[in-house]
Amino acid sequence: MNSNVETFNGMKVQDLVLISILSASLTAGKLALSFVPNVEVVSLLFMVYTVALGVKRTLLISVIFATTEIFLYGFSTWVLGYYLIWPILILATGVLKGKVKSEYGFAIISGIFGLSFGFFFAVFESFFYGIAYGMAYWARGIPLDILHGASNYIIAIILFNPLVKIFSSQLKQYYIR
Amino acid sequence: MNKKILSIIGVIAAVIILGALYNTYLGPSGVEGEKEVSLQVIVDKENINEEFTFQTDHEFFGELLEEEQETLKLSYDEHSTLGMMITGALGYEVDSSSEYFHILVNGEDAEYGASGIPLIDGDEYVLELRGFGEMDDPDEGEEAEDKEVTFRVTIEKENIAEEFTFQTEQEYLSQLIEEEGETLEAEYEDTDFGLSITEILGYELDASTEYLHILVNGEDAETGVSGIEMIDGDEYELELRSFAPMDDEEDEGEVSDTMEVTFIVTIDTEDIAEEFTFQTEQAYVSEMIEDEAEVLELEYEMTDFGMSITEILGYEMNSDGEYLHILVNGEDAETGLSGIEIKDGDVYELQRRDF
Repeated sequence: MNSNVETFNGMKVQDLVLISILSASLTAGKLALSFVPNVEVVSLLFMVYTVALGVKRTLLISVIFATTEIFLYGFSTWVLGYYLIWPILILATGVLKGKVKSEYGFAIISGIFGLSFGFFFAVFESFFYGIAYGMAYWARGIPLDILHGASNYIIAIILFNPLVKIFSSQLKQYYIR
Repeated sequence: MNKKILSIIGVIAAVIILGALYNTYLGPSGVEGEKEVSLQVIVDKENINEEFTFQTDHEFFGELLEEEQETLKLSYDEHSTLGMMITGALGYEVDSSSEYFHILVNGEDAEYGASGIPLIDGDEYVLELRGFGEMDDPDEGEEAEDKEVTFRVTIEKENIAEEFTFQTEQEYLSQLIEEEGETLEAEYEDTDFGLSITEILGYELDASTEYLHILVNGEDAETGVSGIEMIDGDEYELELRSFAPMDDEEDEGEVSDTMEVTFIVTIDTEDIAEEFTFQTEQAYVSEMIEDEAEVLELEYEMTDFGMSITEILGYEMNSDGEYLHILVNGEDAETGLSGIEIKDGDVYELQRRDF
């Protein structure tokens, strides 16, 4: 079977397979660290995928990832937020890609993203349950947001460059452009 | 030292400082010392509703629950991020896929989990079993829940006493009556006061002399059927009762004594607050104020529910948004003006209120 056969919107079979595998890797990465509160590799992986694979494919990965969350946890307002918040990180990484050369820039973005995670959801939930609920939600989660931001920064500063290198070399080796 | 390691140490230090600032200025803080608090546990579907009073030195609600675990037959999990998650109380185990114990503090939704709620002397806590997706405000689209309610109709003079058990997802009693209209052989009208039943179980009401009195769990209802919010397990009863007898139906030979009563009218929006003293021989308040219509600058209508005042002391009532609330000796009246029997020395008050 020719893996270069065009399927939909110029997407190749290998794109479809890659997007599926990388979505699965995100879900697996999230579940693997779910026992540690607000320490996750999802933000890091999204940034790595965006730098190595481009914004468009990574956006599709985020859609599948968010949809998988619904299958795992059921439909809820926070899941709807996932359809927005990950694309924001992907687009921010895509914009920075050409401008930031060192891992510090990406680690800072990842840290800020983790810090503002609770605030984003507070705003999002306010649309459903009112501003008072959103404020309480945010205030209650501030310690977790601090932890999220710090852990995102530390994970990215250590793993961002090695992962981008490995991932890019694997793509060169196996991915037919 | 490596630049990366330095930046990591810097971030960890920042976390510690920010965490300390949060705990000092924003985090929940407990109060030391002995406190007396009450805790009510409600599991509607099991008819569990128990109240406890505890004396405690603990600072947080979660600590109190741990201490009283045996009394409350409590089971819980310690969640890494959320703290204490109550999984059972008074022998009832939560089905965590569809329900949870909701915490209320002094009637308000708690902002924190059990572990984060500071105990304050005199506070009232409620643990109430709720299904996911239930809203606090019924107007914001509460999910329809299946309720089982008992419905009795008593019409003594026709020897009718029937009991029904209904499963319903409706919210108000009037909706249930509409839904079960055929079973109940009910005919009704929509009035300004909500649903008004004109016929039930084949019995046609004579609106001028009788009405269906509503009891909720054996107590007189405070509103009409359209205002009664149904709760699973409730018992509703419609009992045929007569209005106050009319003058010409009064027992012959009964001697009417002159009584002196106080009558107060308060229209807050117009700064009207007037007090009258009336001597009357009438039996009911409606009759007395008919007599005093001129003094009270009164306009009224006679409805199925008795007398309804449309204008008083020059103030015209807006029947859509307000009503005259009746107080008898400072207590809320249980009936309309036509149902209040006059007693010597009574104080009647009409207060304008918004619906």
